[in-house]
Amino acid sequence: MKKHVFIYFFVVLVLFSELIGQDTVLPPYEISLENKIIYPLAGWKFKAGDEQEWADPAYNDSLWQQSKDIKKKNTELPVVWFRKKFNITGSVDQTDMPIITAIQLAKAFQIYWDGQLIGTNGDPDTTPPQYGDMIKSCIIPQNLLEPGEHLLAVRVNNDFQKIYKRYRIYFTFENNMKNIRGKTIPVYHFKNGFELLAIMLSLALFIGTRHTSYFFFGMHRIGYGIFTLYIYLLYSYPISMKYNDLMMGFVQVFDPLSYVFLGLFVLYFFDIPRKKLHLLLQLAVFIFIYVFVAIRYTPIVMFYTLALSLWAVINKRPSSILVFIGLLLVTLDFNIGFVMQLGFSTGFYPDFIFVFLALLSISRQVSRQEKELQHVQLHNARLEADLLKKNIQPHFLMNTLLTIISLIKTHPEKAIELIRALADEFRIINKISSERTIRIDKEVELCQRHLQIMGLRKSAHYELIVDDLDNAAMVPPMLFHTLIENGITHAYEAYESGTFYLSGKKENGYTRYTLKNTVGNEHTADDDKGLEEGMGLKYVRARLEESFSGKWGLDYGRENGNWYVNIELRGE
Amino acid sequence: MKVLIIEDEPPIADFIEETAQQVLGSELTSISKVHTVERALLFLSEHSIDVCLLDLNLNGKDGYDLLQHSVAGSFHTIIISAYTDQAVHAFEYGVLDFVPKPFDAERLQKAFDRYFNLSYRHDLAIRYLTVKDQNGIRVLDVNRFKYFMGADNYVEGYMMDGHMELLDKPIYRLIQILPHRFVQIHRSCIADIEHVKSFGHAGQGKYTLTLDSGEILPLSRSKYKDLQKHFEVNPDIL
Repeated sequence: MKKHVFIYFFVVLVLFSELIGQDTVLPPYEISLENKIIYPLAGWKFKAGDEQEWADPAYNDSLWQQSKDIKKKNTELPVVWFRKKFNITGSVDQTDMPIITAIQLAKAFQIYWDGQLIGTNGDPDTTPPQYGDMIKSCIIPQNLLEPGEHLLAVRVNNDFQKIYKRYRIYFTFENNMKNIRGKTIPVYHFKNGFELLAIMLSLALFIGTRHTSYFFFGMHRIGYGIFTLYIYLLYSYPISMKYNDLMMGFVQVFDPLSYVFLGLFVLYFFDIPRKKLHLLLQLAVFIFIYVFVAIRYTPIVMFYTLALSLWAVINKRPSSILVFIGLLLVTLDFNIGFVMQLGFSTGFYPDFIFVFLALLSISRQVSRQEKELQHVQLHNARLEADLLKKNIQPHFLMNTLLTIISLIKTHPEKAIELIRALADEFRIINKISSERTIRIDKEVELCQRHLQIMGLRKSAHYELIVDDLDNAAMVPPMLFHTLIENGITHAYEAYESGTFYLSGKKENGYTRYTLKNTVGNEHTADDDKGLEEGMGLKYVRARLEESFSGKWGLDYGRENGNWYVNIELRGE
Repeated sequence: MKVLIIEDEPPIADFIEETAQQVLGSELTSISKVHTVERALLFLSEHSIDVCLLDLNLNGKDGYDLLQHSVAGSFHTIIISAYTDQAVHAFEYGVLDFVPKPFDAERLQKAFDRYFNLSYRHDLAIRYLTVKDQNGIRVLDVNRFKYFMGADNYVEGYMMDGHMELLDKPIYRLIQILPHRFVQIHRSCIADIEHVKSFGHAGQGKYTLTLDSGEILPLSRSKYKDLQKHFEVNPDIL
């Protein structure tokens, strides 16, 4: 636990660092464009073709179409133009470097401000199209920032539509170029460190505990972290659009998949029933959105995950409220941010909080599992003690000893036989008592010794006939011994001999053991209560559950005058 | 003296028989062995005995049933068992002794000594008296009785609520297992001295004892003197 506390402390530290980092950013100037983030190309004036005068603010573009659907390439002309007017208020300081940044415009372009070329990343008019820098910042000359109306015109290669569906093309305005990197890079630094920490922690937990849900959480963070890493690289290094395709490919696959992994995490973490069904439904929704709608809508899948975590809260799964709150925050954040097209997500805070809460839940689960493990160990120890006690039970020993005393006088040779059988039985029990399972031939030997002892005590003869047994098969110790003990107590009176039959039939994937025994003549149907659940069956069930958890079955009854107990073991 | 052994393991039954013969000698007039509950009940319905040596195998079937049957009988019950943790419970039902297995002649001798010593009184508190009638066996709280009147081979037990129960035991056998506060005040009467209102001379050389609830019981001259001594030491009881 202490280790986890340290990690949380670190996570909190990272969160605070981000706050401090943002506080050092200079306050905004009294200058504003129509929108601080000019976003996206939708709503701009659009025309295919290439005329230099289209860069001129005076040019009348009223007959141009409105760029609504820019996903489809609707002309074969090599170059297209976009125009958008902005109203500027306020004034600029002499030291400022106001910039327009084009983001996700995949092919070569030129940007004109009030008819003046302020930036380019290549020649738009080439076949095949040129790639340029992924993020291109263009400085707007100070003299072109007078209050009033201005024009932004973009001349771009027509192949720009072949862009990544999720991330929209947009332009940002910043009143000072220096702010962009100063603001963005440290944040992503922290974000990357944070992601790495979360990934390492959850994967380490998975390796340590083999709990599938931690693996899924790790995968979720990897998927999400790849996007963060990508953004970080874009802002930190001049990366050509050529490599961007490859990087974007990764992001396009892993980032949306992170939502599926998130769903898997919740499914397994809260052990929600019908996992396969939920996974299939989630995948169906995901694939539908991914293929037929748009990748940027994939965060909608999170609502499904949110609903699953709500189920966990209603069904009082431990720590579910923490995960639910975190999920609620990120779900709303992502969906408002990306899907509703209000720009980027509202910030990293919801995600930080979510990761923190999820890790908190995980750590609580780990501590719970520790306690459960202790409990199980205790339970095992108790079973073992029971096992030993069952046969060195005082009454068994005392009755046997008294029988020996009696036999020494009347039948000394029987007394010796009894002492030997008792010694053998104790020796076997001593050897097997600490095992979880033993070879069935050992168990049969133990049963035979016990029958020998009981035969001498009851002045009768008991026999165990074994049929179809795989000697190397493993069973919990004293399983059949306990049942035979029960059978002798309840099926026979003194002087009544009896026969036990043990068989083990292997059928596809499971072994069916049957223990049958004849019932003495003095027994009436009334005595069948001897078959009822007693201490013996309780022990048998506990042992089976311990070694074949959930993969065993037991039934018993009376058939053709014989008692029988069937035990089915699956997946041996 | 007639003895019945109820034991489901023949070699042990043989040993008990032999040891009892050794201990009782010529006192023993008959000894029988049965191995099942059914045979034990059948035997008891057809024969009268003085002592039942019972293997109390409470983990087996009908352990308590047989115990209740046995203690409800006119004879005394001595348990011979390896289930020593059941001893306290057996005494609560009014057994005369509990002999843990394995045992020897000396230990069985002690148990029979209790039987022969008529002034023997239990130190372990009995809690239940078991009665047997046509409706079967009933287990009654011993604290509900206030006095007992002896008649031939049975005893009339009078309870707080005025109800009377017949107990299938001679009065000198019953007193052996009753708690100390029950005192035999007359050849034919046992009373709970915690419920005594007064006692004294009733004329013509007769003495009587009056209970809180008004019953007047016969009191022997020797017991009169004992009671006087008793209440001098413990005057607050009256």
